[in-house]
Amino acid sequence: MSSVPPSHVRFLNVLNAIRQLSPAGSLTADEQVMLDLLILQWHEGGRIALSDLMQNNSAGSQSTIYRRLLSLNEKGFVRFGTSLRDKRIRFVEPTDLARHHMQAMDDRLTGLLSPYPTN
Amino acid sequence: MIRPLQHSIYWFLKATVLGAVWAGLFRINAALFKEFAVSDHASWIFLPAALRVLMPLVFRSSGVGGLILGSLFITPPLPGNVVAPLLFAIASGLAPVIGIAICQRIFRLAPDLAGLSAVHLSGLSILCALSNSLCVNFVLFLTHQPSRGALNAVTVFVGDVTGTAMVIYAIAGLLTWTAKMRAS
Repeated sequence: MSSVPPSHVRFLNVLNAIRQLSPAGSLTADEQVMLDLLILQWHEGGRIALSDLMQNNSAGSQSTIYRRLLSLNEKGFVRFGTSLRDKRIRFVEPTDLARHHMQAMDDRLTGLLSPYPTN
Repeated sequence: MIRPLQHSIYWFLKATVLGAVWAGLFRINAALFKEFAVSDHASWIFLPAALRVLMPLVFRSSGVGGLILGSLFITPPLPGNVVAPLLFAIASGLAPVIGIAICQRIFRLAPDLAGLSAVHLSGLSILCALSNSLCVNFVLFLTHQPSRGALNAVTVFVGDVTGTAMVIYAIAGLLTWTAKMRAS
């Protein structure tokens, strides 16, 4: 193997670094699935307790779920809140970025489903 | 015997194309932001500065060659004015080499740029802008051209950082948009 890394490898690594500047564009597929699951649960029940989420086997093992939540937290999509009554209970809450992401998705879907002009 | 020659020709062609891209963006910048130009060598917004970071980073020596050729495409050496264009061309290629070398020391960047992050890109753009600002003003000093001192240096630095940020954020937006188009 050549000791000089090929240009396309350096190019792809530079593109990955540039992608990090756009938070929505930098979500991995697993993070996107996790975020979609959270969006559904926020819609159904409001606040999501972290303990309830960790028991959701369909989303993966507890460590996997926690890792993805931490990643979403680092990228600014979720924050962890604490219950006022019991500080041991932590909630997963949407940030403004997550709300903006949901609104953007809604706008795109609305645009897709709007009736076409008739001739 | 033939392989090194082919390699050299390929290197030169790559550098020429990169130089042409740099010169093209220089012309676009001059047309779009002529109000922001302080002198022939300083502007408050300088889009080609992004290529000064990205070309050597991705293409290494041919990227540096492209910057030198690009500078010569813009200001070719002519009878009666040979030294200044050559020095500016060399400075154009050398400045990012210095900036990238310092960043590689500070951030311990891998040769294939694995793990390169947005923070590293910010550091690279600032250090390349700083080294370019110093190199340009040094060449102005060597060639006895009026430099306006600190104003020129600050303008070049700010122009390079601003131009690099604009181009990189535009690329980030384009990448996000194309990803969303593919997903929908």
